[in-house]
Amino acid sequence: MDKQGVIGVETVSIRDRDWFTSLYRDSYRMLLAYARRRVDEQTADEVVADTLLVAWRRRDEVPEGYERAWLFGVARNTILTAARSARRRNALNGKLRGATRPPWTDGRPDVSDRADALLPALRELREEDRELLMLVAWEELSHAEIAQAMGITPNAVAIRVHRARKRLADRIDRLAEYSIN
Amino acid sequence: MTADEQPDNDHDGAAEEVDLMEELRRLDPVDIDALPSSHSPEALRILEQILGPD
Repeated sequence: MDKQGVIGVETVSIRDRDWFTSLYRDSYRMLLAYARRRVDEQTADEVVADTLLVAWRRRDEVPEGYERAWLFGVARNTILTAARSARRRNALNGKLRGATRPPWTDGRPDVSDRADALLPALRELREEDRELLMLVAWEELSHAEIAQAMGITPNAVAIRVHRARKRLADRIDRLAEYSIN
Repeated sequence: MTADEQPDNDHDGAAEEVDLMEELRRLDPVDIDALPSSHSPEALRILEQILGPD
């Protein structure tokens, strides 16, 4: 992204504004969906606004061709920070749950067959496994994009996703078996 | 090569894994089409806050 220097004062170029406006239009709804899958509605709105503000301020660092993955990486960090704050706040208030718990994880599992067990099983996975599977299934990111977002190699992503799928399948089997017996 | 990069040799059930991910896709808790677009008043307000007035 380019900037124009005017007598020592850096001003924002029209090209920067156009680039960001285009990124914003392409990403807003996608980021909102990403955030709503992970946090409550109000927090999701804040995550999207914070993520896009970071993208604007750090526009020189956004990698060309990996804009989507970079934005997910920023959103992910924003959510992790919000979750840590919520945990601290709730610990101070004596509450057990955080404000950043995704809505679809509410309620007790009502499992009558394997299909019913999928979301409860996903909820029970450790956070890293759950995040990987959500990025593949719901955000439809490629392994290369996930690698960019999480700061690991694409090969490591492929192997972790494979293992996470196996752990999900195992949990589904266990939940379904438990509900039948 | 780290432990994470050691490939698994177990390829059994690969088709089942694909089905599992397809099933997970269908259970997406968010209806993207129902979300506010980047042209919604809320989205435009955020954009203006970030960029400032023209």
